Amino acid sequence: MSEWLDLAVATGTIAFIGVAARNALRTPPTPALASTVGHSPLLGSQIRAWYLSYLQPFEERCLQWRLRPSDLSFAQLLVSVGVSVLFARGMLFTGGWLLLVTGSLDIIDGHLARRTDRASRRGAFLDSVIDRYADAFGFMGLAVYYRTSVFLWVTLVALVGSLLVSYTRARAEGLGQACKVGLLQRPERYVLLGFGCIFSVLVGRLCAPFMQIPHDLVLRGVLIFLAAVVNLTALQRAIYVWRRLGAEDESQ
Amino acid sequence: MTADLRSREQKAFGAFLLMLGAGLVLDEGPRLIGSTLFLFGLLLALWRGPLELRPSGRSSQPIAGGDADPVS
Repeated sequence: MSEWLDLAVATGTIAFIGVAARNALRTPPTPALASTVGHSPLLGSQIRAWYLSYLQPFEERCLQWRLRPSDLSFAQLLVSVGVSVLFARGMLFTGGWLLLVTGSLDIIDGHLARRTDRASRRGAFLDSVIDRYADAFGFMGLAVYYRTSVFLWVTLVALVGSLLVSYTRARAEGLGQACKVGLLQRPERYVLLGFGCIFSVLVGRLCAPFMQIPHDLVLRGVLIFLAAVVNLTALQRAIYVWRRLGAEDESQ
Repeated sequence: MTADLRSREQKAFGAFLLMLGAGLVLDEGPRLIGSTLFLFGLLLALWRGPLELRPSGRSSQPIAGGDADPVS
């Protein structure tokens, strides 16, 4: 009985994600909208615009309830701790989904700060610190989950790379250099890791009647990819800033 | 809030409940609560048609980038 329930829920979830993805890709946003949401190779402006259009009602609710941006930042921190615990207990689907929710909270708090004219350097600093903790909590939970496996090392390499991507940009900005280059920035990392966890469980459940595969197979692939590409991104940023600073030093 | 915003809020909340319910079932949590949340979420998300992009709904403020973090 429980196998059938699992199969039905997994099939329904895949169908729902499929419909949502098809609709996100089907309707192009207006040029005005597309120009304001940003673009990256992994998350195009179309997907960003679609996703942000579904976050907007929650921004309105937060305004209505007079929530402060810092309230959402602390909520993000709290949910991240929950994500860490869920990952550590092997609840990959729920943890992956809540990881995507923490990413959404981070987007909403920034928008809320701008809309209520509360954007400040202090708020930006608090937001950055909480984001680093949120990044680390996700990987920490996975490290506990993989504590007896070789994937512990892959997770740790991904964690270090992930923190270094942010550090290189912060250090570059401290030296007066803008540094927004890089393949995998934070939204992409959230999406990859979150959906990696979700699809791991879905694929495992759907394949269960036909063959036995590890239920974290997709996640293993995503972690290897993340570990490689986040470190490449950190390296890419380091080289970019090195060259820019070198050129500036020579011109002086 | 406009009707369009309310509709999108309902769909997004439905999607949240659906995925949370699916997680509880598939991660071997409380199955009864999970399957109830899944069905209720599905109903909310699909009540007024599938999830679609409605750019006209976001008229009050422009979207200022997806990444709110100054250091990402």
